[in-house]
Amino acid sequence: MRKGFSIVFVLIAIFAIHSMAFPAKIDPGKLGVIYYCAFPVTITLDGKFDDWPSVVPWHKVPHDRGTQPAPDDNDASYEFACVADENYLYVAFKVRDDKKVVGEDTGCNVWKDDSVEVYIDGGNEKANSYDANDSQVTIGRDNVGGDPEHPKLGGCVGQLQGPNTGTKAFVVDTDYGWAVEAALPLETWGIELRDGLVIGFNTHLNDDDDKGPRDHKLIWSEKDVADTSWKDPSVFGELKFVEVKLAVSPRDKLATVWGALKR
Amino acid sequence: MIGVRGLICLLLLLPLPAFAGLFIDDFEDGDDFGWRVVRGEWKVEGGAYVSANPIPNAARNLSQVSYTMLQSPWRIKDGAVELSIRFDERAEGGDEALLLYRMEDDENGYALKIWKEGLTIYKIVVGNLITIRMEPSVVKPTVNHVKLELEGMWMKVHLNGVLRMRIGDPEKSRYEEGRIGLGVPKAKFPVRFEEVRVEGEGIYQFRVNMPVEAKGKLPLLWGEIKGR
Repeated sequence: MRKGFSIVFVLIAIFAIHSMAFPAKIDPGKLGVIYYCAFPVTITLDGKFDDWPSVVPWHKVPHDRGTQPAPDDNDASYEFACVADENYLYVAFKVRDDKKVVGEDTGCNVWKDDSVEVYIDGGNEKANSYDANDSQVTIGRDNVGGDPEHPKLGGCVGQLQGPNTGTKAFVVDTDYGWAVEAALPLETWGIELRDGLVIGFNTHLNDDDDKGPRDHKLIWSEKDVADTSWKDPSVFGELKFVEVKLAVSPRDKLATVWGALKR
Repeated sequence: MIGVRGLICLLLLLPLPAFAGLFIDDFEDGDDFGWRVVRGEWKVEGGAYVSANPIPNAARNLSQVSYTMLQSPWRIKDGAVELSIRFDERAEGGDEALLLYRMEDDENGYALKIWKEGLTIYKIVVGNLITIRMEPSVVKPTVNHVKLELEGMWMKVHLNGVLRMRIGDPEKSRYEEGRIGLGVPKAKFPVRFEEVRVEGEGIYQFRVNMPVEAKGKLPLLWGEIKGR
């Protein structure tokens, strides 16, 4: 009897340790509706993505989801992921793009060239026009090789314009197109990080294939059916911060919080 | 016991299921049967429906547009509308065309504009052309094939075989169904509309070359009836 109890206890203990040694699951949310953003995780902006925990969900926006669809995913499509720490919301983009067009339109007009957009409604008020905690931050592919601490940004709308948000961004060319790691300071939008906090959120991709006007526009939020996020936060989707113990198993020792490891 | 005749009668009384059908007008018959000109000068010529009068300035209201409505017994809700639009070479991209759809009457519905800068979708409210969305696109200076797909609030535009635009109208004031029409909001030269094709639930061929039942006799061609 005692022997049987011991075996059960050992099995439970093994199961518990095993569970801790594997990464926690993060709810993927729903494409175009809500993204669950894990914290605390700190990212180094280097374009390598090796410090993004594998359990973080990536939302893929295909070529035909937007007001100006592309013929296929290789022409234009993207996926993005988010994490946060006490200071920043980190947003990563992996953009599939078969033609690089940069430098024709820059600064506030970078939306006409290859670029990604992050939309934040810090108070999640869902108003029909921008208030003091709403922003469009546009990050152009023209930042490849640039200074990640002071990137060239667009999003010149509203009171809190993209270039004035303190956003940092590292942009790299890749074999499939290009990629972005961006850090958006939470205090810019008055966001006090806590488990369960929900903000308004959206992402876009602008793709230029042949100079001149933009050729493709892809959109994550399913409410943004006519590309009006630049003026109307009510069409944003949502991002919910979730505190997660991202456990890892370093050299067979006990599981440790990812954030603690990085520190 | 209801008998065979009773059973047949019963079956005939059951509501018919909706069906996806097709309407085509290639204007090869040389007439504009089924179309009602609301404004401007229109004629059927060489397999095309042609708006002939010049419109010097870009219209912002249907009162300034040369347009014609298809007086179909059906209304398009979900489905597809296709046609080819041929601009005059001399226009050098300056002329513009409209495809009107889900028109509740002559002044309310939607319009797709094909013009040199790209594609624009309007909501038409009491004749006013209110832009929902404009997307730059590669519009050819002469012939363009347009396919508009409608599904609930979504509107997808294929230009010359490529999906170029996908927008929605989530407003409660959305027009759910209506008739189609053709228009010209700006043109120096005649604009030709060819091979109009409508596909969708409840759509059917109501005009030329379709057999109809005339007083219980054998089906006759509508064209023959018109000729009498």
